[in-house]
Amino acid sequence: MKQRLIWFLALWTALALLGPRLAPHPPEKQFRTQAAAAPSAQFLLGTDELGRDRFSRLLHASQWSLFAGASATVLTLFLGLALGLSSAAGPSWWRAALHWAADLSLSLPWLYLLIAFRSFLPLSLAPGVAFVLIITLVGLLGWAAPAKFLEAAAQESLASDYVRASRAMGASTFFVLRRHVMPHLGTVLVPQFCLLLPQYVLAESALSFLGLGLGEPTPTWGTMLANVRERLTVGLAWWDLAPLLPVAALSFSSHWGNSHREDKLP
Amino acid sequence: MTKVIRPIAASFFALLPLLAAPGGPLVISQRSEPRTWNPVFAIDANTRDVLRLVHGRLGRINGQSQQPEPYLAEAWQFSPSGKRCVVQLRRGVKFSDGHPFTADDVLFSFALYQDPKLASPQKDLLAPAGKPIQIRKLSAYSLELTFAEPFAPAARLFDGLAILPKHILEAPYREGTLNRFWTLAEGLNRFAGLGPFVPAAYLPGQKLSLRPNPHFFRRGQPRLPGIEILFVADQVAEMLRFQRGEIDLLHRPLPKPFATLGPNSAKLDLGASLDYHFLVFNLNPLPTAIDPGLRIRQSWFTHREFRQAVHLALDREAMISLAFDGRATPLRSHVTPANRVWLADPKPPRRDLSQARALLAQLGFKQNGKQLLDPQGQPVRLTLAVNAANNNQTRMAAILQQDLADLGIELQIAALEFRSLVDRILKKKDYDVALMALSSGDADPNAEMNIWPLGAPMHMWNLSAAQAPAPWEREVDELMQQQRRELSPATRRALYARVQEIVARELPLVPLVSPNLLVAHKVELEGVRPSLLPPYALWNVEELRWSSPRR
Repeated sequence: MKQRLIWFLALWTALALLGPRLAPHPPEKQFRTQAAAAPSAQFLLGTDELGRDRFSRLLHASQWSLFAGASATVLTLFLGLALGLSSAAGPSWWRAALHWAADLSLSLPWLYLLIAFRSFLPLSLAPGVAFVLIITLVGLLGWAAPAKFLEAAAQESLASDYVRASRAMGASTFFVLRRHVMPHLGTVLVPQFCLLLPQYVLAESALSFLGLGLGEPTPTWGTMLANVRERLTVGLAWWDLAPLLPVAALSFSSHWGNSHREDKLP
Repeated sequence: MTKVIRPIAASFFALLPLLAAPGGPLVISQRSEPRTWNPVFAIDANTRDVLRLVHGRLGRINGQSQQPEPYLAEAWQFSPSGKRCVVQLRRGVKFSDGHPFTADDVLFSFALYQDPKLASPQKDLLAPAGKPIQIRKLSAYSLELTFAEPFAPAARLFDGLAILPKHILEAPYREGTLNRFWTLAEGLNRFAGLGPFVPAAYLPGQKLSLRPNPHFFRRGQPRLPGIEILFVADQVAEMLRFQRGEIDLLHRPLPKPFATLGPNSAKLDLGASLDYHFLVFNLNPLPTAIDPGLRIRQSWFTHREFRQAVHLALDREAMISLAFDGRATPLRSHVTPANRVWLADPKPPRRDLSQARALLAQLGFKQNGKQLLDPQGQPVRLTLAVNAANNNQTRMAAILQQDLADLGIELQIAALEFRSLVDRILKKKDYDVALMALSSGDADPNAEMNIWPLGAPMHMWNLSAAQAPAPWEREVDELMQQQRRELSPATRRALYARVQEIVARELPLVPLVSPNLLVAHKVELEGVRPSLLPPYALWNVEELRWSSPRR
């Protein structure tokens, strides 16, 4: 079933790449006399509150959200892996320091720190800079939980007989980690990727709230979804939920791929 | 026999208020918790709104007539020179703990507000032109106020000054512990006020409960058995709770769901409010360490014609229909059509792109395809700072972006957390243009004294204007000082009309729209006569009542 997850991701990636070419209208163009319109031949998923074509925005949003989410997830897991492995195999003082840093990171009021961080940045951020910033921030802030899981899995492997045997034969720590430990960490890495990806896709809208997101008029799944909330007060039509579709599909395919993978485990 | 009758009679009288008002407490909502029970330290609007329910004032502004009327005072009389005022207090009034109210409480309250060590926000209000109002006790129930110079809106002052209990607050004031004395949780047990309600319970982060003041000076009032104030984070959550029946009265709800409220809700649209949204350009002298790009951009918008071009390029009708669901009014000056007495020119502004382009051409700006270039050939790009949490404003920003694109101006939107936004504007002065909103607490021009005079704290486009004012800023400053001293209403109107004329020409603030004042409430709630002035439908809270038992 791992293939299904890969197929899903490949499909979304293709959509993200091709989306802007398929979009019938520019995502920022406002058709002011047709605001909040129902689906029609001109607007396949209707328009938003400013009269912008929802279908076109969704296609453009896929590009930003998926790449930002996937890149941030990879960054988090890379950091988590590096720190988790070094904690499992490193000296006790390093392990204690990393545990302390992980606990601190999990308990810090990131919202306020991000507000303070924003105040040091220039007011206007070019979309490219904002994009890299989102990936870096989301990627850096989420390292603690995966690092803990990966450390636990690595310690389990390091305590096994074959690792002891390998060490007795003179294998270096780096060799042991690369040859004997890392191949077993897929059981943690894949579920973490599946869990973090949908979360990180939505994290962008929270960063937008702090002025760290892509901002208007660039569409993302997170900001489009945030606008759906207001529609709750006037009654939702099915086309209002269109931004939910890719996020739900991504979460579902991530979960599906992961659960089938677990089923196949011995 | 008396042993039996007394408890029965006591129970009967204790239950009387419940029989009179069987509907349960009125549930309202606020964005955040109040910070104190002490109005001397109340700096935010949420705190002030709650304190109006529990404290009394000498006079209040009638929400319907917008004119001051006696409240704790029985009457006041101004001398013909306008420099002296004698206030007669009501007799027999008691604080909520039963202690009598006298002139000593008023003297004490004025002393607190005027004490520089306490830094009360009312301190400046009580010192027109920087000279403190003198107050003297004439008898236990009369006082004399003396002004250094005539002060036209003097009677309106009384609405903003809650009268405090000397018998409770004097000791902590002398000990220097007043700022810690009436905190929200601890103040519940030692509170005494003259308002219609008194604090009853406080659940941090959730709600605040008020019960009727048993000694309220108006017989038979308040008619509600209590008020519950829920702390609800945003307008969407607030509207959803109102729709579920968990909130009884809603001020300024989201316009779109307001229109779809069902028959169980009464909907009141009062038309244009005193609130106004505007663009403010950064005309401040810039600190040396600032982004050099901002200096270049500032060289564009320091030209009045540039600001006028922006003003002419804006599609306010689109803002009204798309951001406010049609429930707003376009503005040509900072005085909204709600202020019928003071508005000088009620004509709505119109969009005129060709005139806007002509103004830019006069300054040497050139069109290069869809991009506007400055006289040095640089593309004109500006960044608009906006409050990320305000949905209406982020929508307006997106509309502005497209409007200015029609002129060739590239507008980038920087949505910021509100405190960061205010910090950029009022402290760092690090922005090009910002989308902001102000809410006038009163229809009188004196409410604008914190904006227009040189050096006023909200003179945000040029906070150091007092050092090097532009000639028009100096003229506005003089006109504002003059209207405050002038006792003739007609002359005051003429002076303030001139202020509006200058502001509409110079555009330090580019006015956008004024949202309508909307109020929604349960149909069972009676006596609702909302005012355009804060606290809107609660200005006559003591008269509100339930029409039938609900709970």
